[in-house]
Amino acid sequence: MASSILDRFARIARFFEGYANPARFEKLSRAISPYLLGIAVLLMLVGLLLGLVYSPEDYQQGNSVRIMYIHVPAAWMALMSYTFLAGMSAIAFIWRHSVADIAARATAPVGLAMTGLALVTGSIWGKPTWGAWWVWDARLTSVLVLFFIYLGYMVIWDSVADKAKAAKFARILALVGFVNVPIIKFSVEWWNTLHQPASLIVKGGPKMHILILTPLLVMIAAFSVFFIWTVLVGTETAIIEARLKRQQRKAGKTLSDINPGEKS
Amino acid sequence: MIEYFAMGGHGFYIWTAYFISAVVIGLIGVLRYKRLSVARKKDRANTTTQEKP
Repeated sequence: MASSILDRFARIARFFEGYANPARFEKLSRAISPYLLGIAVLLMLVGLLLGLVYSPEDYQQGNSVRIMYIHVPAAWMALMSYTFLAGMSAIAFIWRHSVADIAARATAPVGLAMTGLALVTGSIWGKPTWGAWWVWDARLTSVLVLFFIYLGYMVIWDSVADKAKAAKFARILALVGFVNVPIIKFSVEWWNTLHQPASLIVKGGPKMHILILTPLLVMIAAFSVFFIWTVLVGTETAIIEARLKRQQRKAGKTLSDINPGEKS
Repeated sequence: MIEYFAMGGHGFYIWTAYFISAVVIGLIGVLRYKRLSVARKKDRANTTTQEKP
């Protein structure tokens, strides 16, 4: 049992080692990112068509249920982004992989935007369904906490001048903040909340009609592929910008014209 | 058509939510792509300059 777990752990380590080389990562990103963007756009168009035209109204919520096709994928992506960010931070901590920190950093703005989108679309859905834009409910509050964790992670990278220290603090925040992920997931079961309980990942399969479930799954797939694209492209950009900075430093030029917004 | 966009009285909420989502996703996509294009362009220019005798 223990040896099989160690074996799996070693296999995961070998996989990440392969892409810890920035040049290899860049090559992979260049090859697959255009296809990923194409697939994401196609899936989104299909999902929108199914969700806005072909799916039926809910017997209780009426047409407002259609907000679910963007709210749930956004919330899914917010959690997926954070899980990825924490995973990359753990890899950076344990194996000191150069790409892991870059990937984690590239994930944060997307995660922040998706958490914000989940909160806003949830609030818009809440008004016709609950009669309120916002309630201090366990699910909503824990997602708001996630929003601030993302924000804190980004602020650390941008405000700590010593990048080695910034990386250390950001990794610690990412790993400690991961406690919030299961809290978000199980908040609807642990506390009495207005938010509906899980209806997608439940024992005995999803509790939804196939005509509502299909567009939801297509949109979740679209958001997931889009997320992978954003991480690949963001990481590739950061690798190129870092290389340019190194070259500029070597050439003795000023850095200001490479990335004026970023403090070095 | 008007009936479709009214969405049974929920049109305002639904279209607002979709509009905001489109703006956010579009912005993420465009900004990421633009920043990558600029970086690649500078990288190519830099490589070409270094390769010159």
